[in-house]
Amino acid sequence: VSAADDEDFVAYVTGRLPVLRRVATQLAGDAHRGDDLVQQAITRLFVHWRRGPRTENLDAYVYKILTRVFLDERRLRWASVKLGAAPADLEPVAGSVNPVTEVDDRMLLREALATLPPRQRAILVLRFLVDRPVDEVADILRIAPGTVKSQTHDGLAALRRLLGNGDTAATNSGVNP
Amino acid sequence: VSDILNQFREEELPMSTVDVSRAMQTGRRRRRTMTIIAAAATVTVLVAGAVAGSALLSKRSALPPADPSCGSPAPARPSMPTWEHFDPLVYEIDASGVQGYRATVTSTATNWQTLGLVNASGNRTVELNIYSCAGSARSMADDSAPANPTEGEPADPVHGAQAYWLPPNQSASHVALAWQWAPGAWAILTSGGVESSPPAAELRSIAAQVAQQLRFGAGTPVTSPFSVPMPDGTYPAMTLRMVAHVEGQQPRGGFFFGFEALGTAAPPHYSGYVPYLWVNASQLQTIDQLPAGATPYPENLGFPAYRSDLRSEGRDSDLLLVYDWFGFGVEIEPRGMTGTRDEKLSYAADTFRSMTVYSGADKDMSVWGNPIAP
Repeated sequence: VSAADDEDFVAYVTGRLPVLRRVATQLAGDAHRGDDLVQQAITRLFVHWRRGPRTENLDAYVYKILTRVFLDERRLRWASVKLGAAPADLEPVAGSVNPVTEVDDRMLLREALATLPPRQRAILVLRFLVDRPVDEVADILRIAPGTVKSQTHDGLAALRRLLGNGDTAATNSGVNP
Repeated sequence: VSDILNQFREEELPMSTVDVSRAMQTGRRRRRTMTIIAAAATVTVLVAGAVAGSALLSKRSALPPADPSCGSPAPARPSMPTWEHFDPLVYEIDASGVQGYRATVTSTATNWQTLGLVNASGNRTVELNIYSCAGSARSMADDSAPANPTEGEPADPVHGAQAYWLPPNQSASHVALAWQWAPGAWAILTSGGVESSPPAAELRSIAAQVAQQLRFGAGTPVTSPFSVPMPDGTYPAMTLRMVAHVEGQQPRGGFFFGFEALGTAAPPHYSGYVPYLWVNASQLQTIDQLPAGATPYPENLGFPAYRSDLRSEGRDSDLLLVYDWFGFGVEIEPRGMTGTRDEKLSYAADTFRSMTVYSGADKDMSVWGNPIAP
């Protein structure tokens, strides 16, 4: 890898760092774990940097790496558990969600997001936080576009239930069929 | 909901701990080592079966000959002449002398053992990883390459061995102390806090204190809530036992049992490792957590059973999930097997049918027993 390649890498990562951190924070559930995901993802990106910039859509490539890092970590539960998880971390949080009116919406939503299965969470984050189209999300997660749509619907419905909006809000608004 | 998700675009995040130059350094090192690791793995497989040892050890493959410079256990045990490797079914860390902390996670493998501790208020954690002589010690700051503890800042000796403070991890929420717990075998103890920037001096004090209170060579058999016959063509590669303590509630636990294929080298470190076959039972896994998209398992296994497609996670196998099994949720993933997804799932179902729970295991962890069925 040439010095010019290194400069390209630094320029690209520096420019994309804010949005990568936002995505990773929502995937991981907090900013510090999110930063760890980003650190791992950009390390993998650098290993393959000569290949990365030549892909058609570099952003999609990076989101794919980031999502894979996240899902791999989730699969390796023993590893994530042992990294100093406090007892409360092992507890399901669905029952601890408070009414929307009592706490900050974002905090509540983050808590609700954390209760979703990892893949469903990744779909919602990629669709609504960084506006990735259905086909691209399908490619990132190696699933069918139809699965992305149905998982988007199911994920939003689950969030609405958790946020206490009930069935009245469980419409298809926000879902791009 | 999507409007609220939108708000995350404007959310202010704490100061970034992402280090681009570190990513480049690690990436360069990883590029260099990828070829070396591939070659080394091939060589290791070629010397399979070269080691004599206990009956269990002899079932394994790919263990290289013992290094004569590797420290001997104390007290000596015939089944474990040196610490060249661990027996994954024997726990060697003795934390009974550690004050004010309780274990949440213990893990064993051929080349590492782990202990996770948390204090009573839940705001301080300690993680200890000890490695065999053949293990490759890793630091939390960068687990992609072997740690070089001797390049760290010298610390007070631990049990008479020179110790070192390793460079801080990315989020600066941990400190790490390394020393050789036996000649040629490293221990890395990480002390952390749940807040974003816990005081480093306090963490160092905790690390040094806990390190002195630990003892090694415990020789305690690993116990599990279930037993399972040794799957053909495999050897026990790792175990993980976790316990969730919730105030006012009975502790709940889980046991993860990983098998590796005969002929495959035992991994030298935990980073990125997933066994050939996972068999897990946990009281923390309930049907409420059924993964989205999971479908009912077509055969009657006697308990609510599902299959979850893992292809989206890069796996060519499904996860078999069984709930309400004597108070446990069971997960089985035959990740490394050859065959179609249906064949692998059928194998997972056969494995489930062969599992036996220890009576009362969901109420009392003291009744847990040998994870390998006789």
